[in-house]
Amino acid sequence: MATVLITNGGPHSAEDWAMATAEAIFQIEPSVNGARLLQARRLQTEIAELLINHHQSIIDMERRNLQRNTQEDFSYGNALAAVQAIAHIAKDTPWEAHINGDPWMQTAHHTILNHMQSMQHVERSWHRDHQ
Amino acid sequence: MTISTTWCTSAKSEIFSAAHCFQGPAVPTGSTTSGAFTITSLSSVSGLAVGMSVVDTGFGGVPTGAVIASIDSGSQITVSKAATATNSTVFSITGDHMAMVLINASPVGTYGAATTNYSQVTSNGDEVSGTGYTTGGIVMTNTSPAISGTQSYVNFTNPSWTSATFSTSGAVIVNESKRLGGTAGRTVGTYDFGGVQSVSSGTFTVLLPSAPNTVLTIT
Repeated sequence: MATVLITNGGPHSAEDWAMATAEAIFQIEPSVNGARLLQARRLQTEIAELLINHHQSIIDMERRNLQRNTQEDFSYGNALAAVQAIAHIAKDTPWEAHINGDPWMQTAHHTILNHMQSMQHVERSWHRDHQ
Repeated sequence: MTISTTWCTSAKSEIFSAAHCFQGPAVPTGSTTSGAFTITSLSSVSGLAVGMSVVDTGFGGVPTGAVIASIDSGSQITVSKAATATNSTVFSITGDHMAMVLINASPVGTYGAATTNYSQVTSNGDEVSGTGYTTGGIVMTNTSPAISGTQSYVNFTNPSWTSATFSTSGAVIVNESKRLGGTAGRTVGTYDFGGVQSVSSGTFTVLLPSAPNTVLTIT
């Protein structure tokens, strides 16, 4: 099943994107329950909260680009920094080893970059719609 | 009727007929000579495949509809149409154009592995109509095929509709490029949205499953 992100009345907020990214890169299996479920939800929320600032910076960058007709782009480095920050907050959790492994790091980097590119696209599209 | 999230079986078969090119875009620099079919001094041929679309982003010296006919060396390709100008420029070289078509809230048809062509959506009258949605859907940007362990997968940028007001229950990915038998509109995959999803004067984005868990995965 594909996930959809819907925001009525405007573009998606950094908070919308942050939660969507957190749910994509740290998925909680339906079989997880009890204390482990609580821990997992806590970490997922922490990841989302961490991503809000990262994602807001991308939205702000794209709005500046559209206002000034510039091409500032720091998506790649920003995504990498976000992955490293998530690895840091996962320390001392049951998922520390998993999140610090190469496969998760690569998938998370790809997903965050993908979402950041989508954020830029949405901002451009709204800008075009209202010109 | 129902929609499921799956590869279309016909697309799996068509892969073996080289009927889909999922390569992501490449933007090498290079030079054209008026009347010649070759593009020389290419900065790179990495990621290029025979049949990919070639667009001259600078001077329009390569006619519309040109595709790669052969890759001659690490810095030269031959295209299907002769250049109309002599220039050095940037080229946009892309794989097939894959569009996401949205299915309306109450589809008549069933969409899943047995879906073969966009015409099934149109003949059933199942495509979304509404503000911010254009018939035929949105062309996505391909992400070049990649490998994870023993799996190979392809993915696309997440399609978004802005200033949008409509309801939808799923989507079909359609290959707009004509390859196999000159037929356009061959379907590649179908996506279930888990129920009717509505947007009002807002933004509707489909978050495609993250790599390597994409729908289009060969194990």
